[in-house]
Amino acid sequence: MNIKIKRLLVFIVLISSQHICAQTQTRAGFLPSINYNHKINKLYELNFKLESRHFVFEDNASQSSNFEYNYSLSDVSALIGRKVGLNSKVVLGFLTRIEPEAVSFRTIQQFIFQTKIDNFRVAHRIATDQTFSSNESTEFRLRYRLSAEIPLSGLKVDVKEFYFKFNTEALNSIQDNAYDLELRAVPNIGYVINERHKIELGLDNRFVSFIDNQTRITSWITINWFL
Amino acid sequence: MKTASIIISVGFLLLFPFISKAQHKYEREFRIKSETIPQSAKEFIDSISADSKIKWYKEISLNDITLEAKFKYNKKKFSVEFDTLGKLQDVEFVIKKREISPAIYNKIKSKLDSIYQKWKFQKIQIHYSGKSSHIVDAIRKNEPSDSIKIAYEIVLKGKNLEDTQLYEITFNEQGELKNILLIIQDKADHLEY
Repeated sequence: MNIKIKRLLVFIVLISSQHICAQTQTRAGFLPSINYNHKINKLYELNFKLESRHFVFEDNASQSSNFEYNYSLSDVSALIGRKVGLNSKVVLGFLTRIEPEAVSFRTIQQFIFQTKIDNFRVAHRIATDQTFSSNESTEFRLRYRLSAEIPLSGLKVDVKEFYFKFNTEALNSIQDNAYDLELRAVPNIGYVINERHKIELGLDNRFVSFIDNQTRITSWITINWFL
Repeated sequence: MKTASIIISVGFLLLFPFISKAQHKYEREFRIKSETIPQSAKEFIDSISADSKIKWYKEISLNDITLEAKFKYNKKKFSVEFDTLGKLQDVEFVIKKREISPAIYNKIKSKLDSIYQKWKFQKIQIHYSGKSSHIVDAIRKNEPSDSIKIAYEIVLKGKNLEDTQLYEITFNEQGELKNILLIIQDKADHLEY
């Protein structure tokens, strides 16, 4: 890479980070999930997911840090996937978000394809979703997620072996004609318990509101159970 | 060859449905230290003078335990398999389509055309088996002699009436079909959802 471009990138990162630090609101919590996958036949499969958010820490630049437990919400989703190629599928579904005082609904459309680079399995997910709620305008999102799995022993991940998984995602959203960008980076350590069950522990970092200069960083400790 | 943990052997299912009976073949491999490798296996690998670091693996299947060395030589990816006592079993390395002689390639192609509506190579490996010294000579000269046995192992994406699947297909030196395996890909729900 050209040295000038490198310097420019470093400069942008430094400026951005100073900018973010000056404005940032940080929150942290737990994000446990259960993910059930059921193969119907050669072409179709179902996916059900239950996920909930629990905040335990909040730090606003203008206020003091605060450790306090707060249940935030639960998401319940149901998706149906259809294989459209050897390593690709189209997925449709919906999600219900249950908050203490509100319920919202989301329709989801995804295209997922997998590639393999040596020992790495990589999945690409291009998705759109629309969130409907009674007290807010509909939010439209376009998102791209890259997930990479690296076996920690051997050439591929087998039963009773650990793996490292890294997800990174960019989410573009439009609501009330206002555009926003969210970035996510999620490193995970996973373990294959048996042919059916996997468990993952990770850190889901979300950088919200990049565009409107009120960046929030939310870090979740994630515990995912795939069955 | 070692891309899937479970391979269901369908033998000649696609050619002779009446004789086929699916068999399950489990493979699991993990990295091992070179200190645990028998001297004879290490000496064989040393005689090739690999261009890269040598990575050793132990591979466990239902019937067998083997040791495998993986490395690069002459810009090719090699995999050398030994039994647990260090006796050479075979050598395989990745080749390009154009490295198969046109006559053999045409035979392979017409056989694949007769099996699949559409197909595409994912990986081609050539296998050498025979006397160790002859195999080393063949690797160094980049040309097999008549004294070693050759086979082509092809991983391909094949489309038939039902759907598209990944297959591992073996052809002998003459381009005759020897075996077809259906590769069952590992679950990827944790990457997709």
